[in-house]
Amino acid sequence: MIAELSLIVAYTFIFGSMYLGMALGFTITTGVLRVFNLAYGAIFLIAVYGTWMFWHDLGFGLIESIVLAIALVALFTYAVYQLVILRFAELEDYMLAALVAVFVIVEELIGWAYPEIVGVYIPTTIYNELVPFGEANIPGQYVVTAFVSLALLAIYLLFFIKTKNGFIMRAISQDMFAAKLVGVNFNRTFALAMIIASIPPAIVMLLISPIWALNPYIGWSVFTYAILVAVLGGLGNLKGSIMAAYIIGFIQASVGFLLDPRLMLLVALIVVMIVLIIRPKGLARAETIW
Amino acid sequence: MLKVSNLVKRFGGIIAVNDVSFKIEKGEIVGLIGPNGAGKSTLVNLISGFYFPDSGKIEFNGHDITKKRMNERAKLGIARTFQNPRVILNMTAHMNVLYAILGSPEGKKMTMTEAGAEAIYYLDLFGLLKKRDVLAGDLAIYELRLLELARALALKPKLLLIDEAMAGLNPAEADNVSKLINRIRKEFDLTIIWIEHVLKVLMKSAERVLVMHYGKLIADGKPEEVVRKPEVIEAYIGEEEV
Repeated sequence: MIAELSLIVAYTFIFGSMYLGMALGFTITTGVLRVFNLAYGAIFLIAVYGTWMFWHDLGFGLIESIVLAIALVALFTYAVYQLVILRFAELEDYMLAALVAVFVIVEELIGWAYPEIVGVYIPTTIYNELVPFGEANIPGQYVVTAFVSLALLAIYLLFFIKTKNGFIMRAISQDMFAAKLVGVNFNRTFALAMIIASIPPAIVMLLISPIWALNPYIGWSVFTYAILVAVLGGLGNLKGSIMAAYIIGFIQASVGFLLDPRLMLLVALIVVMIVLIIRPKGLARAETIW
Repeated sequence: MLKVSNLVKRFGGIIAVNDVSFKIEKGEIVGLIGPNGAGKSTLVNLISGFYFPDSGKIEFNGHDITKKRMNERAKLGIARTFQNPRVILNMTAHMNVLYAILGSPEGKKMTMTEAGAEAIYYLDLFGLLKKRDVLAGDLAIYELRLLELARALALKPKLLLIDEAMAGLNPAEADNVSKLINRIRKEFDLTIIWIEHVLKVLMKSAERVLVMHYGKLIADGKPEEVVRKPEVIEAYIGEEEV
C-alpha cells in the first residue's frame, strides 16, 4: 500500500505538472484573446513531426531541428491568428468550425506524410534513469518533463507580472474595453500572446515524446487534457489551471494505480463534468489570467 | 483642433445624432448640455471612436479620424471618461493608471519602474496616493471618477472628453472635481469637451456651451447667452433646472 501511495503522490505531481505545461498556452489564449483555440492540438503534432522532418528527412542536427520546429509552431499559430481568428472575429461559430478544420487538416497532412507504420521516434530523452520516490521508481524523463513544465510556468508568470507586455495582456484579459480606451495595440498584443502561448505545449510534447508512442492522431488525446485543465480551472485563469492540473493529475494517478489504468481518462472526464455542474465557470471564477 | 461635420448616427429608426457640425479650437473648454436622450453621450462616443457615424466626418488636428478605432484615437491624443466609470475593477488604482501609461506611445519607451513612478505622480495629482494599492472595485464613486481622470490624463491627451463627471457626487465632491478639471486643463494645456446634464455646473468653467436636443445641435455660444435662447429654454421645459 505504501508503494501505491508513493506512486500516487509522485504521479499526481508528474501528471499535474505535465498537463499544466500542455494547457499553459491554451489558458493564455483563452485568457488574453477570449478565444477557444480549437486548433491548439495541432501544435503538439507540428512540434514533434516538424522536429522529425527537419532531423530525419532534411538532415539537420537534433537541436537545430527542435528550434526550427518551434519556429514552425510559432509561424503556424501566427497564421491561425491572422487568417482565422482575425477574419472570423465577429463570427464565433464560424471561427470555431474553422479552427477545428485547421487542426484536422494538419492532422491529415501529417497522417499522409508520416503514417503510423513509419514509427517516428525523437531522441529527446534528457534523463533515462529511474528516480526513486519512497517505495516507487519513476522514469527520469517524466520527472524532467514535470520540472520543465513548472519552469515554463514560472517564466510565464514572471512575464505576466514583471514585463510591460505581460502587464498589458493581464489588463486586456480583465477588461478588453477598458484596455482599448488607453490605446493598446490589440493586433500586436494578440499576435504576441498567440505566439508565446504556442511554445510551452511544443516543448512539453517534445520532452514526453520518447515515452509516449507517437502517431499522427495523438494531438486529440493531448489536447483533451489541455481542455480539461483549462475548463476545470475556469477558462483563461492560470491559478485555476494550476489547481485543475493537479486535481486531474491526482484523479489519474489514483485511478491508474488503485483501479484500472484504462479508466484514467474516463474518470477524470466524469469528475470534471460533475465539478462543472456545481461550478459552471470552473474553479477560479475571476475573469482574469492571473 | 476638432472639426465635426454633418455627423449622423442612427440606432434603428432613432436618429441619435442628426447632422451635427461644430469646431473646437485648441485650449477651449466646451460644455455639452441637453436634456436626457439629447444625444450628448452618443456624440462623445462618436468622437472617441466608441461608435462609428453613419455619415459625416470627424477631423482631429487636421487628420480625418472618422474611421479610426478607439485605441488609434487614444494614441492620437483623445482620452475620455464615462458616466459610469470604466476602470479595471480587479486591478489596483496604481495598476489602472500604470497600464494606461504603458499603452501610450511614450510608455513604450519607459521601463516598468519609470512608468510606475509616473503612475504615482498622476494618482498624487488627484489625491489618490493613499488608495494606490486598493482594488478599483473597492473604491467609492468619487474616487472612481478621480481615477478615471487620472488614467485619462496619464495618456497625455490633447483632447479630453468628460462624460458627466459629477453624477452621483455630493456638492463638496462635485466642487472638488470641478476645481481639479480646471487645474489640469491649465497645467496640461488641455482642450476639453465636458458633458453635464445641469448647465449651472458648467457656468463657472466652460467658455462655450453646445446644446443638443433630439440629436440636433440647437445652440452654440457663451453659457450666459445660451441659457437665454428660447429654443434652449423650450428644450429644458419639463426637464430639470437650467
